[in-house]
Amino acid sequence: VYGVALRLARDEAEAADVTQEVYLKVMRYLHQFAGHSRFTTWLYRIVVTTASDRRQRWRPLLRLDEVPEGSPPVIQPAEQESALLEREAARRLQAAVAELPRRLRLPLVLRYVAGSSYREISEALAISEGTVASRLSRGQRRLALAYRAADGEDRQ
Amino acid sequence: MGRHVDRWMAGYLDNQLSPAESDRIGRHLRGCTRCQGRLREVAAGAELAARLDAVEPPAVTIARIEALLRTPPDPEMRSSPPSAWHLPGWSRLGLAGFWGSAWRLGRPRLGRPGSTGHLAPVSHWPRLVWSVAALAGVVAAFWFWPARVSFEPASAPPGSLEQIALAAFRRGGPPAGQDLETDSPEAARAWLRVRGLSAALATERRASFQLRGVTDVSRPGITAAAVRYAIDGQEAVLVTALASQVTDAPRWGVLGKRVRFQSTADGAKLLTWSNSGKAYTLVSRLGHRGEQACLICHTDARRQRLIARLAGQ
Repeated sequence: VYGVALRLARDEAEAADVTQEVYLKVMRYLHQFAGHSRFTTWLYRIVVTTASDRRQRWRPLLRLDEVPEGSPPVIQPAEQESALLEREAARRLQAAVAELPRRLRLPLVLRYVAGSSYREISEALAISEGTVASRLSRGQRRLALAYRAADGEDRQ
Repeated sequence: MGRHVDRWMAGYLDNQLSPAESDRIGRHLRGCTRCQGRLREVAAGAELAARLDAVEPPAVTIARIEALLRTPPDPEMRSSPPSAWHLPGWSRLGLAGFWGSAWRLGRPRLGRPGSTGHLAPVSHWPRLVWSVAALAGVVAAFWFWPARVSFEPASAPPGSLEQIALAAFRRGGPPAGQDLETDSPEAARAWLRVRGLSAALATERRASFQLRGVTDVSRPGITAAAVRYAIDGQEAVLVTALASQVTDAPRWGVLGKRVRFQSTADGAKLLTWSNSGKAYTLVSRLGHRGEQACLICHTDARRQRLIARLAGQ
């Protein structure tokens, strides 16, 4: 749940709040789960709607634990070069995913983070399976292009 | 060569297409270099997306959720379902629609060009009368229609603002530690403002209202404060928190404020609402549903009348 929320919320603190809200909603509305779909489909639908709701009422608040932009990254002296590169690649990938429009990001996150099938994604997002396939195609292509562009910028 | 097959590429790579569709895409790809390039990009994207692993939430988030889930709901608490609060708004809208229709019907009718009707003298009186009536009806619908409320048994969710407020109300006693013991509304407001919170406290001194102080009742993930006061010697607690941190604060309805009323077996009455990004729960044993505890804060005469009317129902 947190992994999906993190890619939808674009912010770790917001993702933590979404996760908490999802758990409370699940606990509260569990009796309403009729079993017509898989539990995970129902769960991820709650994650998606909760993240959307929070996004609508989002206010720009400065969090005290926020690191100001432009601060130098903290690098541990004992950190291996390979670990550093790996971390950098993960950061670049995360940024490329965050750049995707929401309608393309949602199916991608549900497919590759939550491991949902096309049918489950279509139920969670209330779109047809054809639309899921189409959005995945476009999302994957744009992700590759964005990642490659970020990679090129970093090498310059 | 046929049409390009961009939209089917993810399905083709994931083996989600029927054999016939797969054959068709495969045939097209063999003869189209553009689509071959695009397919490589889609496949690269899939490879990248597969590297997005499931991330564990921070330990503090897990602890926060566990603490919330452990908080037992108060089985005695009764509340009304949120859907009930839409009724006042819709009823007002319906009334406004009715008067609007009446206004349309009251317009003078003109005949069609060519008929003798459009040459006949037209009286504007019906239109004027209906317009005034319609305007008065809309104003009445929006200003004087009392909010409808109802009670239905339901449990407040664990960790909700109501649970925090009820705990603060039952705990009672003077504030301690970094909390503030004061009878000054200005000092209490300043204390709240530092924490990003606010509460509408009457600035004028009234004999029936005694401010006791403000207490920090924050929980993990929820910054909350309790304003303690007494009305005619009866204790009341107003708990406020950021609405974004509260899972279940009622928001504004279609055309009016949604307030959730709840009561407990031991006579505590809870009102919960949200306003300007803050959520509030007021707990007391006052009034019909506790609305009288609100009266002290509101200097607006119209709102006081509305609250008094609600309290008298």
